[in-house]
Amino acid sequence: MTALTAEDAELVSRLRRGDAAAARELYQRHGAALLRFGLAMSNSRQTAEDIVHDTFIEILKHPIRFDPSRGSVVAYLFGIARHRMSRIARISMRDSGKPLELSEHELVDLDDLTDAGDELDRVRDIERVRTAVFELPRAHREVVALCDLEELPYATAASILGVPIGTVRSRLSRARALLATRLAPAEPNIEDDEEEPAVSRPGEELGVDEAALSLSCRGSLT
Amino acid sequence: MSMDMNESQDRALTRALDEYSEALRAERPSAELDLRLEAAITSWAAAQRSQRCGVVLCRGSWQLLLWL
Repeated sequence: MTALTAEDAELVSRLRRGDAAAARELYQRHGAALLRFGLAMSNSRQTAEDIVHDTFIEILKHPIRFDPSRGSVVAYLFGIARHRMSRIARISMRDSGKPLELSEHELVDLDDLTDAGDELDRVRDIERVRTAVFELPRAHREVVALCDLEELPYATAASILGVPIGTVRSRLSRARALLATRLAPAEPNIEDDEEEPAVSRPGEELGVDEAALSLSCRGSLT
Repeated sequence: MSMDMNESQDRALTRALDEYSEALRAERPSAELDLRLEAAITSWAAAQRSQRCGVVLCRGSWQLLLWL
């Protein structure tokens, strides 16, 4: 057990004794990481913040459910967040008949850009990746969010997902292959160009990046 | 390296994901979320205190009854 893991476990012990300072410290330590996971999974700041809130309410209500022999506090918190995320996706599917859609949330405010050249390209690249990650099936998106974006060890990801490490590796490999395909630059198709009608269609004036952004989620979230 | 990917594709993807990860790391919980959590913690701590007081009172009552 690392020093940080032990400190986290001690904080949860203090939660069991009703220590508010321990609750605040736990939130300070892990709130931002859970928010990032929520953002990568839901692509909505509101949903991501609700997930963080619900995760901490859950551990406040039932600190006794954390069992240090089964994993770290980080894995436990991410496990709760993941469970909440699945529930939200199920509700979205049930109520609207479709999975969560890509929101308008942007990671970088375009108005803040001082250099409209390289910086704009960088922002577009990030948005393309964000869209591509969000369009992955949920099981694949989870491993990308945990292992690639959050850089958690495979063992921790396996503990969060409740699967063997080998499954984490294979899902990550598959997810990266899917991402590489989706992010590959579009090859120009001469035949298509020749047959292109003179009248423009909605969105046609958009470049490849913007067109990708306009797509709604096709990934399965259930 | 991932399946069906060559080394340069893998490197390019890693770079792209690193940039996305870096952008995500700039994201912080909003002041509104901080306030929501603070209110929840304060209310939870108060409930914990009153629960503990109840337990102490209850124990005290039983001890008094036994003594009598």
